[in-house]
Amino acid sequence: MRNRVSTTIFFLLLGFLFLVAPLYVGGYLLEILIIVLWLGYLGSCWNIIGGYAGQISLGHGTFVGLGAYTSTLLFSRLGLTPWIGMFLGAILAMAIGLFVGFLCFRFRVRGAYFLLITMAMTEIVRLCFENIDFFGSTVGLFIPTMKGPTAPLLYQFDQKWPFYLIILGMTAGILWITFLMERSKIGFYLKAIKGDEDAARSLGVSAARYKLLAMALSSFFIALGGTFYAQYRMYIRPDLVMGIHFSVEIVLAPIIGGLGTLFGPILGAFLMIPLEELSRLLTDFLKHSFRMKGLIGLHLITYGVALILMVRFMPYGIIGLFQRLKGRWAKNEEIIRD
Amino acid sequence: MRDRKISRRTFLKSAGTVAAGVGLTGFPAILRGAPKEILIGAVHPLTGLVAEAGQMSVWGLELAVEHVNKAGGIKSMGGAKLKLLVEDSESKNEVGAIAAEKLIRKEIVCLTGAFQSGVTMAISKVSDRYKMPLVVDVATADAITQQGFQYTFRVFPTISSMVRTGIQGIMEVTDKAGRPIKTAVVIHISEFTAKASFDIFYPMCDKVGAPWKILKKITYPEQTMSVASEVSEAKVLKPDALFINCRMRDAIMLVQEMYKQKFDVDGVFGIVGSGLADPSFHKQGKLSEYVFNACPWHDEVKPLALKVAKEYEARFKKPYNMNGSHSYDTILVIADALERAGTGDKEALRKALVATKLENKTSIGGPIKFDEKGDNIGAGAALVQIQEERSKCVFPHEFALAKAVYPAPKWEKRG
Amino acid sequence: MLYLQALINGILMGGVYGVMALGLSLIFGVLNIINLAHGNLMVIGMYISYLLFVLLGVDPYLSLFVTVFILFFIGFFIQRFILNPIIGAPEEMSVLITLGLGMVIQNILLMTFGPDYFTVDTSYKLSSLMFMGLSVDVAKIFTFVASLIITAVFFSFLQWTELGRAIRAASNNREAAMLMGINVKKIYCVAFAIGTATVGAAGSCISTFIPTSQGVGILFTMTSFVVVIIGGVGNYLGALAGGLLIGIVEEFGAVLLSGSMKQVVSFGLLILILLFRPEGLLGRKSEE
Repeated sequence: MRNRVSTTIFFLLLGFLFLVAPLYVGGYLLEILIIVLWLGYLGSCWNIIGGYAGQISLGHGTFVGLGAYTSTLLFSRLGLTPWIGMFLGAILAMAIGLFVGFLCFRFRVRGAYFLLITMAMTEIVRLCFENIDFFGSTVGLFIPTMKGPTAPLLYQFDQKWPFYLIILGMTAGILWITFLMERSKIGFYLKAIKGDEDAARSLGVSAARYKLLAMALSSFFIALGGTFYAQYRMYIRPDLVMGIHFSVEIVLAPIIGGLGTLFGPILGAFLMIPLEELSRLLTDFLKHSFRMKGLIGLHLITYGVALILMVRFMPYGIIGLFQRLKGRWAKNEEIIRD
Repeated sequence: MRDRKISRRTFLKSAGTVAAGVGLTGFPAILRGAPKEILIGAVHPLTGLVAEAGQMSVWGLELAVEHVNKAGGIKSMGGAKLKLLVEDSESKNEVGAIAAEKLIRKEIVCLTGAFQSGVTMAISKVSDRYKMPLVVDVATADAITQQGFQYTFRVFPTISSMVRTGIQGIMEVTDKAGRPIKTAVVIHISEFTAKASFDIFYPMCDKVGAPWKILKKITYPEQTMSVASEVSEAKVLKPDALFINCRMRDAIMLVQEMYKQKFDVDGVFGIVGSGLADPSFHKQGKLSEYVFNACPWHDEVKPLALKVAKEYEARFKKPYNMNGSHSYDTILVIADALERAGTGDKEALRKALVATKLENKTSIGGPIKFDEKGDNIGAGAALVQIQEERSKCVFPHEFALAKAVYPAPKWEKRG
Repeated sequence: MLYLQALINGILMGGVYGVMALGLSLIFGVLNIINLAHGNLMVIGMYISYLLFVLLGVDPYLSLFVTVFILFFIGFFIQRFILNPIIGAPEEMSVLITLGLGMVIQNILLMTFGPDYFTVDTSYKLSSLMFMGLSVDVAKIFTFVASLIITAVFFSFLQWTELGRAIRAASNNREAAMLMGINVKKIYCVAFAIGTATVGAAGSCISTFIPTSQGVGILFTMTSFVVVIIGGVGNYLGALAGGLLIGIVEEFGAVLLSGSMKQVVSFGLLILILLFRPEGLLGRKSEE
């Protein structure tokens, strides 16, 4: 009982701090926070299918891109506000996600092959968008700047903090949804499927149905993140919001933070971005004091090493490590008590 | 031979002069604050595929800063010296935006960058939010100056002007050689800089009255493993000329394939092909010889341009090309504006930039003057040709020394 | 005429793709490992060829043996310390680990050599044979022949040597192999090492005509995967066949379609095969 209250207070406090951050934090830090939250949001959406359902997809960039392009095209060609366009984009993404999921899960495609199919899918979609002029092709699409009081209705703000609040809200939202899902029947079944699919099936759990559900949720919500990006950067291009490179970026944070844990993706994002900045500072420092060419790509090497170590030693990420330690701690306490 | 001993009167006189001099120059400085450093921020890709080009821009910026400082700095601000702060955009929009934020936090008075249009768009949004003047040294997308931002200016020519000059140059060169182009094939990468260039190229050909007929438009992905079939496709049509736009890697593959398949044309013309400006492409010897490129360039005739080009090449061991020269000129523009504004205040600087009319510069074109969108109406472009492993300007003539070689000798004659 | 040239180009590129995919086929087929660092390992091989050529003047087809040697050890090391510990874990884990490995390799190469592209400029790099207006690239012919030789060597090794048999046994049924006294862990190391060695050989072969730098790894990886899956995982003839198919499809795609659509066709084929015939066109090699 006491635990639950203190946890809630802790999170309320944390939430409050995040809420008022724009008032105290300068443009640079706010920019970083927005990127961190965005990446964390994307990772959390992916986590539903990748972490909880255990189906690793390296193609979720597709859905982000579909969301971004749908809302952008609807806005620039038809004047439809991206606030509505983004849901249409999400629905489209969900449809594609269900389609791919259906093909794979109904056909009992092995996990590894599902992964390869998602990789191929994201590249195909990216290449298609690059070759069709209507979608802006490789030139990309610029979102026309709207000034004046109606801009917010069109998902445009000339300050940064509204975007910050939006992504904060979205992140809180997906965490809430994941939280609910974790504790619901769906979460329970997904855990069973992830643990041993054949066993779960033999117990009557329709693996395909629940995996499809996870796929639908993750693709729908991740597409909303695509529209956010489009409106924030005002420019999209196939290789920025789709494709393998981007899809891999989405996956890094959840893996590092903890696959299938609630806060894993956010934690991962909070570690990754500052790590990048840190390695950049390090590179600058080395460049100036030792006249070295700089350690170009140092943060990427760090990611790679982190990935290897994570999968090898901490398949449940950092949070998993904490949970294991907590478990061991609790066991020790028990022993001591006895 | 002067008298060694200085008479008291002379001493007093000279002391007085010195004191007066100090007073005259130093006093206003004290009023405005002692000569300090004026910080200018630059965001360029120093890592990634175009790292070499980004670096060449940064060298241009650094060299200009040195020259301005050596000439006395910004005299209207008490001889304050310029200082350049450079951040790597890593060719990524996100990183560029963060870099811009970082620099603005360090209290720069002006921003420049960023080579890639996407990154430039990203930093322009940042700089506009802070009402920070941004003078784009190198970036082509027309959209950058179409956002209605009052604080964004661009020294680099737009794609439209580069394409137009290119077509005019091609027509002139081929007319002069008595062999106007009748048929041509277009080959380019499907990536956006190439596509944007050709989207402008086709209608511009009609507008300017170009005589050639485009037989086929061939595109391929930048990351391709081979361009063999693309070249075969073009060869079969037997065109007089090729219009291309490639990155360096596939440009090299392209000329190699043409050699291997013994595909001869009268001329290969790059249309704003940044890959063709790459030093590695020039080193392909007989393969890249005689290839043209329609692109911005530096003046090869005027003394200032020649002097700077020489120093640049001696110091950095790379040719002084379009990137270096426009970056160099951007610093001149900023310094000139600071000089007229007399202060680092952003609003005053912006007003001064609007009123710019800079004639003494190193890039091709008329005096640098910005229109209401921020584009440089004096910006020019040229047609250059690779001769003896160097790109030389062959059109327009007032900036060129070299003469074009057209038609290009056949492969078997090149040895 | 154009189509004939495209066919020739396609067959030659097919040889290139086939030899690139051989090593991957072995690793995927025998060890069940989806090696996303495949392309990056090949790039290492190419850098080795390049260095040996530039520093010692050795032709890549000769320095191939050195490259093979070095990559054998790199592969052994990788399997021993990074991949062996996760034997038995779900395949996706190998994907993620090799993904990380690929990132590390790519960026170490970037730090060491910088981002510039290079090719090995041998004297015959630009030669081609012309007959009847069709041109045939000499360097690609060498590669094609090399790929046939390598496949033959491969095949006979696995079929007729004791080590080869042990590898096949270990891949089919790990527990049974262990019961028979086969040191499965060591076998896996050797198998992976052979896979990477082949990849190194492929890199040497193609270093004269495919401009490479640290970033090209992912491209090689994707292409090789498409070839392997279409041809049949673990089926070495399948790798060649798949390579030829993809090579021809791409060259025709380049002629018939525009832009990057030729790659779409390859990926589309991949998806179709994955869904409807996951064992590949020539089927997976199955043993008793």
